[in-house]
Amino acid sequence: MRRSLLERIWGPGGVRLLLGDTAVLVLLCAAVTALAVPKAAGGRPARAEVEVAGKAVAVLDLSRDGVSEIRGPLGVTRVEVRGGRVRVLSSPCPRQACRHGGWIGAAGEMLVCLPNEVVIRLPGQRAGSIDAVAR
Amino acid sequence: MNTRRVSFLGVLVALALALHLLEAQIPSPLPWVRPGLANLMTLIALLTCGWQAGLLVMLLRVVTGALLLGGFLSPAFALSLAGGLASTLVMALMARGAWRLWSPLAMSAAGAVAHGGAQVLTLVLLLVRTGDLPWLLPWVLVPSLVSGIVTGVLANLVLLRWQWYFRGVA
Repeated sequence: MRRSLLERIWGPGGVRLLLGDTAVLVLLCAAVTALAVPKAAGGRPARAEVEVAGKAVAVLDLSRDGVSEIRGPLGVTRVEVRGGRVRVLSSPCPRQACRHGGWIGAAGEMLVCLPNEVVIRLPGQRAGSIDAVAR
Repeated sequence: MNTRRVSFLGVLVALALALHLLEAQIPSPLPWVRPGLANLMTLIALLTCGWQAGLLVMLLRVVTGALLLGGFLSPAFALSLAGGLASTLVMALMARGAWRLWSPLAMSAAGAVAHGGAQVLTLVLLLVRTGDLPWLLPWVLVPSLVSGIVTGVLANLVLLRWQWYFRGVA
């Protein structure tokens, strides 16, 4: 016996249920949009994510100034948060490239210390900027 | 609770657990995005045997799933439990209007969104402790809604086709 798709999914009297479901789904979509859209807009990030060896180990609140100690394979990397920005204060690595990265504060920026496997990342999309310019 | 019901709920828990374990094997770029098919069994229990049965099936599935996969009482378990409780609560409240105002499809979709929302809320409260997780919210809620609708269509198909069977159990 062939039945219509409507009847297979919603049974006899399906049109009414279909309307009810549509109403609920419209409400849900509206709720999701209302919750998600204003938050998705960019701006200055509120936190920095810290990873060691690819694993998230800490989330730093950028509104709270202070120094955190992150333990990597070489030793302790000290990370400073001040005024919504973050930098590497000291690092046990030989070349200190992470420390020379200075302060970062915009979405999408990151500091990386390869020897100590520490990555500090500011979540979000980089707004209309380019990675680098080669001359 | 009669024998027939007990064995029926046992089968639902077993199926839910199997789906839960199977879904955990699917690699995903967004690790929290799961099809949520296990929720189908919670929904069926809820509609055929009442909200207590739905709660039971969900709790047994989440606990045994965590025991088998590892991570019982871990943060991931807390997320899973919070999501399960929220979605079961929403679906139980909506069960009153099932097949009258809306079909289980809408219940599944609303439950899935509650699941995602509760997980983000738990994550913020328990783990991150920074008032907001703005960038994460759309990445959780939108896939939740989609998977909830897919699971809901399946729920409707199963519930209608097996109507004669569920009526005998309930």
